Amino acid sequence: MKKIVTVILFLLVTAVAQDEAAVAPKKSSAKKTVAVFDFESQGIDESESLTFSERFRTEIGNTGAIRLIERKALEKIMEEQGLQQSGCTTDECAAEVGQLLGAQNMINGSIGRIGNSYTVDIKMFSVETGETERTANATYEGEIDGLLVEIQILAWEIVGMEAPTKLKLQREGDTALATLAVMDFEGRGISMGEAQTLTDRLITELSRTKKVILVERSTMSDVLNEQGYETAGCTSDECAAEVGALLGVDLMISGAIGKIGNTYTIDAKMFKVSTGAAENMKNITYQGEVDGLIIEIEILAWQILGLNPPKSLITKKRKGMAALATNTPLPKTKGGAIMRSMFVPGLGQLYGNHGKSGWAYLGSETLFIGLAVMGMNNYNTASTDYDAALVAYREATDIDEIALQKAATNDAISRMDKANSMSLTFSVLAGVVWGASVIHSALVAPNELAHNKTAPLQLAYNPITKNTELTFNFSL
Amino acid sequence: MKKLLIIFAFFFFSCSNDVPNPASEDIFDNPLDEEEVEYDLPALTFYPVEVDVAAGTSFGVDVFALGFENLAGTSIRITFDENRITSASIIPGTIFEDAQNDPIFFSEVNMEDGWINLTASFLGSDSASVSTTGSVAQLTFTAVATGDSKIQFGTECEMVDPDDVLLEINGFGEANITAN
Repeated sequence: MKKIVTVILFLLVTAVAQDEAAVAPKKSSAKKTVAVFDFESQGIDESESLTFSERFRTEIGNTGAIRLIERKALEKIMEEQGLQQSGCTTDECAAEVGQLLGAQNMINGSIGRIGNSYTVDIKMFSVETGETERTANATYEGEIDGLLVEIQILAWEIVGMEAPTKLKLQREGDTALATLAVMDFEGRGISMGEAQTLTDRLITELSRTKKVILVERSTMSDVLNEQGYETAGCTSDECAAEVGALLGVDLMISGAIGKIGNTYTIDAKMFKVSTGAAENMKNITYQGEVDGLIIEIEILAWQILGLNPPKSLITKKRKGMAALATNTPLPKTKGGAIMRSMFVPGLGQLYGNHGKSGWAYLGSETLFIGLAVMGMNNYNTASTDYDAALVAYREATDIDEIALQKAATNDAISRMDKANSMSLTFSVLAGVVWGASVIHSALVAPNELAHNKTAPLQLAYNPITKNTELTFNFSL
Repeated sequence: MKKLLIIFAFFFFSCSNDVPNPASEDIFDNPLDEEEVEYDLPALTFYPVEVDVAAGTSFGVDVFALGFENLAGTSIRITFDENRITSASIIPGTIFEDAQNDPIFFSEVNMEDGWINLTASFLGSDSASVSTTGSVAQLTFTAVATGDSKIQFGTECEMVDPDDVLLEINGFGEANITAN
């Protein structure tokens, strides 16, 4: 009996102890109620300081680690107590206000400026004991706008959490880049080769952001092989995290590309290797040719890091397939041949792959223009002689000299006439060759309709505008 | 397209240049060119026939005899606008210089009425004569007032052969003076 009582008591004590142990973490994980005072400003505008305070409140709320007391409630209490936030600078005053608000913790801070540097000092203390629980500070050099990111990061640090990578990447002048590895995207409905190509493009674009240090694909393959995984076999988050830990990277990106009918889906996740927590998740739905996914992947690379994609990418997306087509040679057209021949005779024929006639036109045109230019030069020489002879004739008072200069003048006129005829004749011939070249290029040029057999009037769905459009196309 | 054609047409036909045409243009206008002068020969004329001069400055005008045969002596009256120009100097020309005998040369100037008389003749052998075109005298004038004026030959001009027989004078030139 005694033994039974002892056992029952033991079980009761154990049960109570287990209950208490179960309650204890709940108690410790309960969110604290926190009020944030406006930051003191030293050397910066009051309005700017208020803006930073507001951003701090927003970001500390985003952490989800505390219950934030609204600024209006804080102001109301202060007003009732006949205080102003700027006047309540001592810890005693803050603790008193905190008690009235029913807050467990109060946060106050200051932003100062020394030369081109800004300093931010933030303190969280217990209302009950007045004891400082945590402090955080940052020194920042640069434009004041950059302080916003610092303030946001401090909001995470003051509650004892690590700031998201997105914020760290945004930090201007951050030299400590995060290391990142990208797992090959899982292909569903598309070939493995296509999935790998798109993953490669993602890696290339990620490196272009210059915000992360990427792990070589070969290094990752080695690690996977060492762990006995196929490159395509490591698809679970656990596996990815394990590989990430072995690689010693901060972040991992994994994802999948699927195809349903003409619709493609991209699901990508970036998570912290240390915690396994998802940092950012993106999904994209795309309709169109598989080539168009390249632009989507490129944009995804920026967005998953919390960065704005460059304008060039946005433009490429807007242009859609037309942008992709810029790398492929345009089909030769009749218009193209005519335009070329109009500028340089024979060029249209060369463009239309009629080399012999092209060179013939080009050669004869060059010859005729050359002879025309020669004629003009002869004319100019004769004209100079004419001017000199005529002056000498007019100035002559001797009969013989008059006759001599008159003959020289007439000779110059004769040469001018011949040179002018030569120049005119070959100019006309050059013109004839030019005209013939244009007409000939039009006759022998490739017909653009042979290259593009699509009807000029088309009814089609545009995946970019997401509208069905009636389009009319014609070549210039 | 049309604009391009115009540009090319302009390019090609801009190669055509103007060529002087002596038949239709008055290119050969030397007043001593016997083939080109507008009056009949033999004649008396000036060189140059067009003079632009600044008021107050001097200019030269030569008196020429054109196309005379067997010329042995001359008496020439030259008139001018005395209100605009004055005679500054007169020196003999070259027409008689190539003869074996020294010529005589006289000149008389009347500034008030604006005329000059020139007399030139061979001395010695009566048979001395020239058959040529040449300068009888070199006159220098001074423009005294602005405006246009003329230097002309008077009706009293006479040209004679060694036998003092008058030679026919079929034409007279004139010089136009513009003083600015």
